[in-house]
Amino acid sequence: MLKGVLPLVLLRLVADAEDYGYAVVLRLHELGLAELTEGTVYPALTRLEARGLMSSRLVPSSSGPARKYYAITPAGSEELARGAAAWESLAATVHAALSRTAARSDR
Amino acid sequence: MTVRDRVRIERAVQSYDWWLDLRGAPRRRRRELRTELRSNLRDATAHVGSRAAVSGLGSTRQMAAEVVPEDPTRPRWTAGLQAGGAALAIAVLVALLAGLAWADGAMSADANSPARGSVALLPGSSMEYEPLGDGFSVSTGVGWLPLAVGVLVFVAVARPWRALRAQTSTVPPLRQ
Repeated sequence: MLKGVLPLVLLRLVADAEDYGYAVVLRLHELGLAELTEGTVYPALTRLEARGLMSSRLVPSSSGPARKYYAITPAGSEELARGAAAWESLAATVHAALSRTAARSDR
Repeated sequence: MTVRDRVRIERAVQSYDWWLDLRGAPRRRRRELRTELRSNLRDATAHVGSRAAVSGLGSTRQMAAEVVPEDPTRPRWTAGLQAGGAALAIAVLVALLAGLAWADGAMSADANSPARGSVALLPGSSMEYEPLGDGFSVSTGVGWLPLAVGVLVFVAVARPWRALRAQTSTVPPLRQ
């Protein structure tokens, strides 16, 4: 399930601040999404770039090869708005369904 | 960063590149993806160590599959060269061992007489044993079979006919 909403979360993070692969992984872990590993996040970033939802640029790094920083594109912003609305609607529906089920089982 | 860290990182990067090549990713795209992964692994290594950084990737085959949709029209040159090279090395090693076995046989038969021959399973091979005053000399020609094995494996893995097929399919039709 988490993998399904990963693109949306990545778009949100990159919309907040342009960042490179490993830094995005650390930000996800800080949010409590520790089960999302590098092997899941890096391909997801690459796919979002290939779909034109993110752009990238190389920034020289003092610690080694240049880092690839991702930024959100206008198409990415539209996708983020659409995806966030769909997620909130789904979350509200699922929450209502679960609350009703829980109330019935309490009776 | 230690040598061990660098080796670990490079092994993961090359493994990723191998799977990207097998999926038909173009050379330039593979270089970009390699550079990005190397840079991320170096940052992760500085933070959690190379072992954790590499294990966080999981399967590089899976990563490659998620990044690049398989392109069945592109040859797999790098994978072909690596597999062909490994097959050639193994075949040469086997041929050299066969040559040594032949020399052992020649010495057992008559250590004081020179001998010439070949190994039946290695067409084109030539073996020569010669006793010297203070020892002996053995020369071995492995023949063409190891090279043929290497080339066959290269062709089977690289699938170069895909390039020819792609070229013929892009040639515009002649106007009448």
